[in-house]
Amino acid sequence: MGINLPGLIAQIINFSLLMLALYFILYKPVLKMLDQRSQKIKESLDQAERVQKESAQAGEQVKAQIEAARAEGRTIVGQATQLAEKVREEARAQARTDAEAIIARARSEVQRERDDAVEQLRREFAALTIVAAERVINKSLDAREHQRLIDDVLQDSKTFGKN
Amino acid sequence: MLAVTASVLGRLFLNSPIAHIQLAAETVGNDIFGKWNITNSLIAAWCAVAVVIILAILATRKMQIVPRNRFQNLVEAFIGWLADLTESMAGRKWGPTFLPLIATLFIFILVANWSALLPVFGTIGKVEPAQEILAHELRDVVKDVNDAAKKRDPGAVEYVLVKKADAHGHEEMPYEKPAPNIVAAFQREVGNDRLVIFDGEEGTRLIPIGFKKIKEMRISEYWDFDHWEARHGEVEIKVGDNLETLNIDGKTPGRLLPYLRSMNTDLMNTLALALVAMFLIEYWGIKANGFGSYASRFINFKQGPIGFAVGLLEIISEFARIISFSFRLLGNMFAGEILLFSSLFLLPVMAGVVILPFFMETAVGMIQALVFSVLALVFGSMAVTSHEEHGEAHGHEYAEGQAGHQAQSPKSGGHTEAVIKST
Repeated sequence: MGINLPGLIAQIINFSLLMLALYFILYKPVLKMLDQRSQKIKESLDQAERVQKESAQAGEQVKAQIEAARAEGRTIVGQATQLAEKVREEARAQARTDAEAIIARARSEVQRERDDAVEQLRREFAALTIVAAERVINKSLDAREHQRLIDDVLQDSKTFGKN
Repeated sequence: MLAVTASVLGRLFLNSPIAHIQLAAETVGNDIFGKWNITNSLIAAWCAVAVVIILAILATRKMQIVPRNRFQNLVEAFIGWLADLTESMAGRKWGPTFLPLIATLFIFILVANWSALLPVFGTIGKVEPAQEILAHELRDVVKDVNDAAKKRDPGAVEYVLVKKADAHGHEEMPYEKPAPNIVAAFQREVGNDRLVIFDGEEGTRLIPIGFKKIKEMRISEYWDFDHWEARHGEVEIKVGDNLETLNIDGKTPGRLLPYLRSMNTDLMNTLALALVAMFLIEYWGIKANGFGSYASRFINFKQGPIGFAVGLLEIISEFARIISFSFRLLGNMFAGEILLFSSLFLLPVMAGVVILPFFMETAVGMIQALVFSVLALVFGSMAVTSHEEHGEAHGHEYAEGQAGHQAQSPKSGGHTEAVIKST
């Protein structure tokens, strides 16, 4: 059987030393490395997830901002349009009132001119009539003379307004 | 095709001596540390230790968190697998504690078993001359005869060997011719053993596998039992049925003691592994449960005579584990070694046959390593599991089941429900 106590002890020491040595040079560093790596991978994945989440959040924010800007733009445009409409409306109304005023003024002017003319005519006519009547009264009147007189007065009155 | 070529090659050239198989590991250097016997299996164990440590240093020398070195990947995967294995059986708490033992057992046995398949194992050695072999055998025979005589009659006179002249430090044959009954027993015991005839002086040799016929002789052809001396010069040798004459002057009849022998074919080495494993397992058992609690597993008065008997069985099984550990590994590896030797003997008939046992031994080497380490792991897990907690849990469940049974017994359906809950 080869019973051999020193051999047995030698092998026990052998194996125990190997176990101790491997614990320090193999198992401990390798397991530490494996743990470190899984820790690192976990951290990296977490970080990647966080970054992704952040970027998604940022994208959302940008989108929201764009949306807000667009809405603002829309309101501004709407306001501008309204304002323009109002301005145009006002301008139109102003123009209309101006035109009406001008027309009214023109009309009143015309009226006044006509009134003046009528007044002047009336006045001229009266004077003329007086002149004619003076002449009639101052001369003996026969029929032909009468007729010619009237014609003269009328002839004069024609040029009268032109003076 | 390969097989045919191999068998032709085998028939034409190759020849090998009949292997000398012995269970005890051969002592190759009994002068290295004075009286300490350095066996060849111990040298193989040292080599395996060296190989494992060098590999471990290479693997962990330049470890990086992002590995560029593929060997690092391999080693990490391997150690990770072993760590997962221990944790899956022993749990998170005890797995890391068990890992050094389990992993070292696996790695050490695996490396030892696989390296034993290398051609340097069993083929390079020093020549043990016939004189030394005979001296050893004679001493054993005298011891056997004395033991047998003592058994018959305690007062019997013991035979003592008488040396003629001690020429060398180590044991050689010049003993005085012993009594006739011892000579007869000696002749019966070793007469037909074979010696290989090596050319030249004794020294370091390769096992003589070769093209020419291997010269062998029986011990009875070498040693003249009547005149109690070695024959010289021309000796008649029986080769098959023919007699040949051979001049053995300047040659050394003897055996090759290989410098390396598969580590696990020596009982001392497997026993050492088993002892270390069981020592640590018992230590962990005590550490986990406390000495009293762990001892009560073996010496148990609480549960009456049956508990006591179970405790005794536990003690026996604990010792049986040491034996089963060491002999399982020894038996498997020694049988494998004999298989390889036998296939070596088949070389002249068919060289291709030799390859198959090598494949088989590769598998067996790994399986035995795994079996040894996993069994150690299982025993360790059993040792650290609290015995009383286990028993209490059972008792608790039982009581609960009983209570449920009593409470629900008026209703017919309640009983089965309670049983299902308790199991």
